[in-house]
Amino acid sequence: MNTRWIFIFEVLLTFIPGIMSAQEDSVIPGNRIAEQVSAVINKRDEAYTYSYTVSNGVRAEQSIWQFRLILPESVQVSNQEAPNGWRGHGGPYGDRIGWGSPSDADVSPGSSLGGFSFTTTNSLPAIVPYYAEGYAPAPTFEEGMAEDSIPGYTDLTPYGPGVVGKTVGPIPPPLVIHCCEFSRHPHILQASMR
Amino acid sequence: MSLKITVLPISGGAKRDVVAKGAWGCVYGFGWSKDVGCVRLDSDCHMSLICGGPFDTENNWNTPHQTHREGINADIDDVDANGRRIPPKELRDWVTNDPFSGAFLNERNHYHVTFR
Repeated sequence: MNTRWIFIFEVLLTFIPGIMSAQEDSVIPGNRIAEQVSAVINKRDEAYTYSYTVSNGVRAEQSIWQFRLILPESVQVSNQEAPNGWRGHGGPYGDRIGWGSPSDADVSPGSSLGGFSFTTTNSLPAIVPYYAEGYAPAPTFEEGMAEDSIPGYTDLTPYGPGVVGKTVGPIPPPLVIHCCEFSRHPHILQASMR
Repeated sequence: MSLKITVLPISGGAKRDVVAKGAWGCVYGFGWSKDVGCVRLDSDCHMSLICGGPFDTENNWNTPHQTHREGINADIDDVDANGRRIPPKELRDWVTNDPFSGAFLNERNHYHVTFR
């Protein structure tokens, strides 16, 4: 084989993998976390206070900088509190009550953070989805090159490029209680077993 | 807090800055949520028409603002109405937590937000 072609072939072998990996790394999803969410619920009169602790495993590659609960829109939330360095997001109605770390107070790998809490009055504890996101730099695109759908960034979960799990949170009480739905309401289930 | 929305020309020309502030005020197709603190789409207006609009600053319907004609894409600057430069992570935290926001992208001299 011509030595010139061998040289070109070797150059391609050297640079193509690097170029391809650079493209793959341009979008880093926020799912490289090892999150665990624990919830404590305190009932006082008709109000429930939900307090969450978010932990990140030692094998996580990213720190957790976003934590949200996906709730029914009719859930009324009040007294939302956030840990130091975090701020709460969400209006008087649940839907997406969340917390974000705008500085460097993330939940780093191997650590836990409590202090995510809020109160509801028109709900009962149930199983609800949560969303957690690891911090990764925002993907960089040239002007006008970004598509509406970016693989690895917009298609991982309905809520963002992070992770969706299950925890305990508020949902409106059922108008009519069916026995088949008891399992969705730990509070009712517990009461019914007494 | 309010954000200055920068309308970038396609090539040349003066950059137009629009300061969006006030609760749910609609400026150039943006609604502004004072409580949430970030730009969001108002259901009564669009960021851009299908064949151009406020973002088509040179009126030639050319790219790169093609994606801005679907009413779900916006370019935002990282300077608030008081001239304070908002740290990238703080800005992204505001935008990410808007109920309608989706992707948050860095387009080098500004940020590009896609709303759901």
